[in-house]
Amino acid sequence: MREVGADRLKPRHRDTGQWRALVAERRQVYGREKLRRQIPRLMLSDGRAFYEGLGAQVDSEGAINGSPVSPGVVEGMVRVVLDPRNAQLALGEILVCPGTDPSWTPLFLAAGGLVMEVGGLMTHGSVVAREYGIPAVVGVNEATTRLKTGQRVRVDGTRGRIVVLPSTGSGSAVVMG
Amino acid sequence: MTPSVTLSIDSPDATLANAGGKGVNLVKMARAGLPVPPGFIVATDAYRQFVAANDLQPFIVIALADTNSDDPVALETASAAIRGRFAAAPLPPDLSTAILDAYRALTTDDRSPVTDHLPVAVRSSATAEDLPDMSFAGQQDTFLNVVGDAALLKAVRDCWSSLWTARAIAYRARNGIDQASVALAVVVQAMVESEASGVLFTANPLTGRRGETVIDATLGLGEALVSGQVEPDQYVVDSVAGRIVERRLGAKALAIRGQAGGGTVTVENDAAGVQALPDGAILELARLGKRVERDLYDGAPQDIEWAWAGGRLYLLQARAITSLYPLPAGLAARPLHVLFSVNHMQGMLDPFTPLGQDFLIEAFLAIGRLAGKDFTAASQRDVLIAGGRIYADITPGLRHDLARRLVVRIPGVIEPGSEQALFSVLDDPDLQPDRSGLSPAALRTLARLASIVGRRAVLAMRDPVSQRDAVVRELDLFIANATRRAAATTTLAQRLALWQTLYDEFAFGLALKLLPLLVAGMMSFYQLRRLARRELGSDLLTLEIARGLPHNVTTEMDLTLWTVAQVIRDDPASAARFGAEDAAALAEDFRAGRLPLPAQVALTAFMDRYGMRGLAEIDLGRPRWREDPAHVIGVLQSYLGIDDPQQAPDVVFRRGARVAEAAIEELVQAMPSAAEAGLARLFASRMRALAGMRETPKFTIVRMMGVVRAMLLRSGEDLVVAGVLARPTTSSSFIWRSWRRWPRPGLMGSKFQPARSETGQSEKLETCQCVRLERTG
Repeated sequence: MREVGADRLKPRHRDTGQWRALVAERRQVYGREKLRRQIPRLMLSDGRAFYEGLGAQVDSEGAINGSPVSPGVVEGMVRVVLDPRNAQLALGEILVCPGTDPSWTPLFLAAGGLVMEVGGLMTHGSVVAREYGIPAVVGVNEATTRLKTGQRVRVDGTRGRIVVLPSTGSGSAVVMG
Repeated sequence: MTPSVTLSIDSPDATLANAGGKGVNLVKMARAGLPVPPGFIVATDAYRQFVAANDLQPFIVIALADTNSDDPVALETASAAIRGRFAAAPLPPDLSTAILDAYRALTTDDRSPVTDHLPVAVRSSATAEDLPDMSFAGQQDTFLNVVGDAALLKAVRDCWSSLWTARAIAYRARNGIDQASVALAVVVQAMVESEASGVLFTANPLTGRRGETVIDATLGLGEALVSGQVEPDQYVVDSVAGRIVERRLGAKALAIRGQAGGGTVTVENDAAGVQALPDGAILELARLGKRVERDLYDGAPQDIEWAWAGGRLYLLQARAITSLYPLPAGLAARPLHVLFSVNHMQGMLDPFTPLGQDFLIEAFLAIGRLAGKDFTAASQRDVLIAGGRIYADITPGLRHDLARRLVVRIPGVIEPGSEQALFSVLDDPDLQPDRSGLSPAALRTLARLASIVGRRAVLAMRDPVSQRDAVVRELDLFIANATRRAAATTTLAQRLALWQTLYDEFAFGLALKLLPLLVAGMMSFYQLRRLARRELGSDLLTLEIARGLPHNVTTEMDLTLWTVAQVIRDDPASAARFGAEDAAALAEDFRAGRLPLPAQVALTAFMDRYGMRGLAEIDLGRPRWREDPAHVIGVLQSYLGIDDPQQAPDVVFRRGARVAEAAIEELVQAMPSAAEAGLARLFASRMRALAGMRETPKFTIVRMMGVVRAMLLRSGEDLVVAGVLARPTTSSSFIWRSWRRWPRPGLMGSKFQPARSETGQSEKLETCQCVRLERTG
């Protein structure tokens, strides 16, 4: 019985190997691309690429600028999160991430403030930040690499500014307005 | 001795695994007839034989066990221990014989100058590929002008040892590369005693321009330049026109040159006024570079080390410029096109899986049909893929003077960072508007759609609640219908057809009803901002008015999940389980229906409504919560840890709503006249009624994706049963597009029904055979 089956299925069985090879190749390409962190917002067909969001440079007062989307000022420890599935946020920490979608929303409950690399006034993360009254600055160029977990920052969601503060060792957030 | 210990420089058998990256690239170039210095490759098998003969592997494993890759001192200690062993270990005699045989064959190679002891360059060639955004290049050693048998064998061993520098160990640890299985090849090539040498980039590495070749050149050997010791000349070549467009002469104050008898010497130069490479050679080199890029690497930009000696050019190494973001395949540089990142608009920077890409491109085709355009996935050039991310070609909109006014405003509303990027190219002379971008027919279609949306938006302003509730009911009906029809499908062909139908039903029917609600809500929001700015000098108050918005599906989801947490908290058995077990174990229990009844019921209800959501849900290829509930369960556990009643989502939400009511009153009070106060109140009520719908279109699409994905997964299971795929969930994300683009009757039809199907005796029989074949061999 097996011989008969093998005979009839020969060409298809070869195909099976090809499909699996294709899957393996695409999975490898995907895995490699997933490591890339800097993605151009805009490209021209001659190859020029534009990566920068807002506030690529620090301003004269040493602040990083972005788009203010949820008013208020908060100080707290930075927590850089790239994958919400295994992130634990201590109460009052500043959530710094590339971007959010609804699956991130539950993290907002503990966050004292929000900084995202992408986004605008009506982006998901901004809407939820306002909902929860969390100060938020978004569209901040390379925020997840310029800010480091454990740094102490002041996030001004009214003016769209982030200031890195001298470390004091205290982890609690102080909402000032 | 096995022949695999050394490979010739043009060996057809060279692979990344046996020759390393540098070796395999050199072999590619040599086989294409490009000028590569003669040489050979000491294959990775030689490294493995050396390690095995000296029993080094157990020592490496022990030295690295418990070494924390973040601890530089521990890394240095482990590295020094391993490298000490390497230095003391002798080469097995048959290994050194094989290497020296190849060396002698090289000496008598008629392409190389005949001497007793041919000077060679010995370079490490790692098997780990360079990753995007980071490069492993230059992390292993190179030995120049190596002369004589003993010196060669020592250089080879030193190269092997460089696999274990602290930096290399740390790099592998950071990038998840298995330390135990790494191996290294070594490239041995006749030394080119170069008059000039350097690096060539087949695309401008600073701007990304693919039409420019940039050449850095210095005098003597290239190592002075690679290690950053000299300021080189820089030439920029327009590689399309074949013309040097820029020459900047560097100081070139140092030069490294080979010494008679072996080794190198660094000499001082007074060469600031000398062009290291003559014009003719510059142009020839640029052409060689483009040939490498085009013929060997499918046009992917390359970084090439080169040398110039006796009027001849040599290529010493080529590797991809990994820092350059890839362009979409088949995109010509001219006429200039502007590509805009859809990923940034979606707040998702991960690449899309192939299935996710297909879903969005097919969705775009449905929108095209709505606008009267009839194109296919193969013919459309408006939505392009680069590096797995999705880019929209917005050039037609920018080139048309009326459309441009609208197009330049959109990014600012959604993502100001993207607006900034767009503004930086608007002045480009190739992007100036005329009337060429959009045809009159396309404009008429757009005008027709705009008038439909506009009329319905006016209706929504007049009667927001009933308009909104009617649309929500219709959406629920659409999803219920789709689910029912999906359940009735049995073959892949039927499923792909239904997927297609759902797009059209959504785009032609529902999207045009949903959009006006958003337009009305957003317009009200912007009117409020305008009033607030005018009367109060700031629009901060309007952000307050946007708090605690009702009818936002994401907020509703969060509140539902909070309710589930309350159910668990109130049931002692459930609470105990959620307090004691980890999320993965609970997820397993949930799937098996083994949670305490209240938790099982509440979570099941949540999954029925929201289980099609998940991380990066806009990518159809990514798993949904109902496939992997651990994430949701982890969230529930964190909710159970909230004891401050003021932090509860429902309390926060109600507080937000009260703040919003107060802000509306404040804004209304600030208006100068009763009429304008009435207007502010009207806009505020419309915004509160409609702006929360902002999340509804995406949620509806995600619900539709849930139906499509569940359906495809059933076909995926069929194909696993048939032995075509290894796993239904993830494999299928990477493969459906092939079936979709090139339908294959054998796979699309009923043949791949699983054995449990009732569709026919002969099909069952064939499937059984298929399965048996897979299991037995």
